[in-house]
Amino acid sequence: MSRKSERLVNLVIALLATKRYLTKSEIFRIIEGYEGSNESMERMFERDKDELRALGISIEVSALDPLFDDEIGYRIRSEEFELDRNGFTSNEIAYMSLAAQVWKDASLGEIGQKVIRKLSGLAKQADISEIPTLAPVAFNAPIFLTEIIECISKRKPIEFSYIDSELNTLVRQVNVYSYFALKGFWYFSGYDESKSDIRTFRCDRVSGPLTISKKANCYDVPNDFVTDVNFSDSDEKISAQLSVRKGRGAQLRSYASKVELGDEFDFVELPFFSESELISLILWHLDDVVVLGPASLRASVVASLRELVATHG
Amino acid sequence: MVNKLADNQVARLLDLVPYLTLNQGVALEKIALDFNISKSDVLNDLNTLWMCGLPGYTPLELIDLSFETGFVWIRNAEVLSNPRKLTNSEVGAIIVGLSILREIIGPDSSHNKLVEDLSSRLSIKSEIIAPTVVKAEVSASLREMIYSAMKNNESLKISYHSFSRDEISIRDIIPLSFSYEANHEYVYSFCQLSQDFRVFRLDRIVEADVNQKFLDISNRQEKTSDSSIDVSIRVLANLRKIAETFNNNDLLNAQSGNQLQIKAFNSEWIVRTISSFQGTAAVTQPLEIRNLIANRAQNALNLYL
Repeated sequence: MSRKSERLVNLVIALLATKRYLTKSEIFRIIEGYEGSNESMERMFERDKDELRALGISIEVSALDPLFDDEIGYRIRSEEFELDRNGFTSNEIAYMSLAAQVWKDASLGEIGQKVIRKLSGLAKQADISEIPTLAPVAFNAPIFLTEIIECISKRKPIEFSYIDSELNTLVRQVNVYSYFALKGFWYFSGYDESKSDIRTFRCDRVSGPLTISKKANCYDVPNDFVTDVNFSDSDEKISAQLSVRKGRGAQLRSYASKVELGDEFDFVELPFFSESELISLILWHLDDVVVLGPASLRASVVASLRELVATHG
Repeated sequence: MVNKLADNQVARLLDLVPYLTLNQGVALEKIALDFNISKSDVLNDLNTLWMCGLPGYTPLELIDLSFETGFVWIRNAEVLSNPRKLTNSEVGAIIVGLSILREIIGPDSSHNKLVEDLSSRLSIKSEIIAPTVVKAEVSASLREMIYSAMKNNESLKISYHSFSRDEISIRDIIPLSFSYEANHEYVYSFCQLSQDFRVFRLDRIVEADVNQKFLDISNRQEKTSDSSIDVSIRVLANLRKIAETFNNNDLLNAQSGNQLQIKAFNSEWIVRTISSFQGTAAVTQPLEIRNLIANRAQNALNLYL
């Protein structure tokens, strides 16, 4: 049994129930648990206020008498304290519970559990148990996801160490604009101060904790900002023309915009965003694929093959 | 630590009152389950709440609880009977969760529009933006089909793309369990074709259908065969990609030119993987693999002559 929890709950009840502001001396007199010298009660009260605020409870402070502003009163407004129970249909409450359940055993599981607790006191929920909540995409969400979201909504720049393509760790300072999940990974995009350009970061390549700016509203998200979820090298989408051996290259074929059947090889045309990714995929298929064009792609693949022969000769 | 526990208790007590008010007569065990705490924590919480109430703290003002029977009734707790507002991080978790939910239920479900509307309303009110896109590697309908086959002991007919052999094969499988590793989803199954247990990556299942055929695996024992090959690699550049491919943390401290020991599942896989690194890694041992890469790359080069 905790005397302190008891006192804090009693404080919440009193400040919620009151129709007017309560002064400190009234609080000390009427609320059970405030004991000792005036000084120690003052200290106790300061700590209690901090703890309640840390729980997300906003305590309103006001001068009681317009003529004497040294007398201060406190209260908690129910509309600030309570969830708006009329704001949601029973279906919507059920959706929110499911959305919280998605995080079970995942990074935001603890927060999700709190949501479920709160919603369980709201109303009888609609039964939508036919919706499964098996969501592997939640499993690899980073633990700092809510911090990223907070930074975007408060426009707070962040700083973090990021592992680059050669495994060097560099400190990056970024104004985050957006975040997304794609094919098993979570990303965030924004303006990278050190590169003076828009960059996208993969969350699992962030090394160590994020440092979040204390100051809010430090930047604006440009109106014309569009998150690039294709990881394009350039703005232009280009096509590659390939010869692919019959019965081979299932993955290349699945991306194709055009396939013309031939004898030993088929002609395959496919659009691509990232040349480097495509080169890797073509090399994976070794002697089952020949690049016909564009010339730069053909040259890169030939150069890589020469390199392979040289390093393994 | 003691302080932190107390914080949690206050938050929990404030959530407990509305819950008890709505669920009059709820069993102690059910509370423990719903709040993810032990039964003795529940009793401790109730004993603390018992002492709370409006100033005055006579029986008239105190919260009235009865739980001696193992079932809980609460009265005289009107002030706290509404659930607390959601915090920003809770709303954030809901908004992302709703996006994940939409990905699960798919665009054709009647729920999709309702969930989208709810999400955008929450988003506008809280100024918390939803993710631009949430797209899993695997379609929810495929996962759902496998899941229901597991529950009903059904077998599936799948077209499976073996990436390392670059072949598509048709197999009858009995899915047994899901697993999730290094950002990919797998299904552990009994495979009729190989008469053995196999692991299939979900994103490489090109097509799947419920099979009417009954497969009997009651007498099957799991074969354990380790056919992996030890390979030495010299890493020249592009370290992050190589570390991520081999799931190798040693590389985090590695430098260009370093040697790396890895285990390859089969020779085809390692030959293709090294090739796809665009010349930034080279096999040094075994010689057999080394020659295989040189030959295959030369064959490919010959196609350009």
